[in-house]
Amino acid sequence: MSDYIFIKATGQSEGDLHLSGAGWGVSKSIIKVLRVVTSSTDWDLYILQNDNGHSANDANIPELQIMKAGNGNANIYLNITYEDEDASDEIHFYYIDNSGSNTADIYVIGLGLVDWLLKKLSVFSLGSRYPIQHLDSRYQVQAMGDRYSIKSLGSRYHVYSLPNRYQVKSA
Amino acid sequence: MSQYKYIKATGQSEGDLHLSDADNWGVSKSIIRVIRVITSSTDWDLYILQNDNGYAADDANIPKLQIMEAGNGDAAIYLDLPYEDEDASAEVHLYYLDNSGSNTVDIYIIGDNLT
Repeated sequence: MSDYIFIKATGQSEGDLHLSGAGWGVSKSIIKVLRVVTSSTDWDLYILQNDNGHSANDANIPELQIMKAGNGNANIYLNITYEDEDASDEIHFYYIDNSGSNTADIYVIGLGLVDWLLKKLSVFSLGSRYPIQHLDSRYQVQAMGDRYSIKSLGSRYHVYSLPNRYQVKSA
Repeated sequence: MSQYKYIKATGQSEGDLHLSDADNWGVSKSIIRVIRVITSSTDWDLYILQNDNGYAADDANIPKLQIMEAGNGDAAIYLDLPYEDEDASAEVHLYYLDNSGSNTVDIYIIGDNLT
């Protein structure tokens, strides 16, 4: 099961943007929706995968333009697998306003990928508030059919598996 | 592991809607896949919000999102939208407006849960 994650970044000026927040906290994700609120009548937006910005454009995956000549607010629906290659839990954008110097509010909604599995996890009986077991970052959890597989990191072998009457949540 | 979730809410009037179903939804984080709307309205709007405070306040972390403008009759709105009820009250918050009169609406939400 994936983790709901979001970033809220208001009042962003033109240039390279490195967005992060307590609601995100992962370096690997699926970005589903970007919402942009701006008064600009002609704006462009790029997404990048490292800290080095639009000019360098030297990430493993080069910059991707996700808006050209946007006019006012926009909802940009994506389903893009994203990695912050610096592993700094950020999303890197380049925003330019061709109509002036308007700022932009940027909201990102997505799902956490692998990093979530490496966080501290707790196992609950369905409907219970109280964990029956805590797992630290030495373990990996994967959904496999109607069970969870729990392994030590780097191991091929299951430590144990749980039927789906249990829930696994990040701490 | 994701689980199938749904909400069935019939006869909803205009305004802020706070839909829930403890048995069949019961989560505050989800992926909303489809919203089906059945109505006699010939001009209706629908927004999705992420907290209890409604359309006028629009003060959730993620602002309101218009998912239909000038709908005419029934509609199936296909989304792929991670959603959080920021109040953690296992609801889905919508705002429905009928510009053609005061028709009610039946709303069906289908999705799966997140953590």
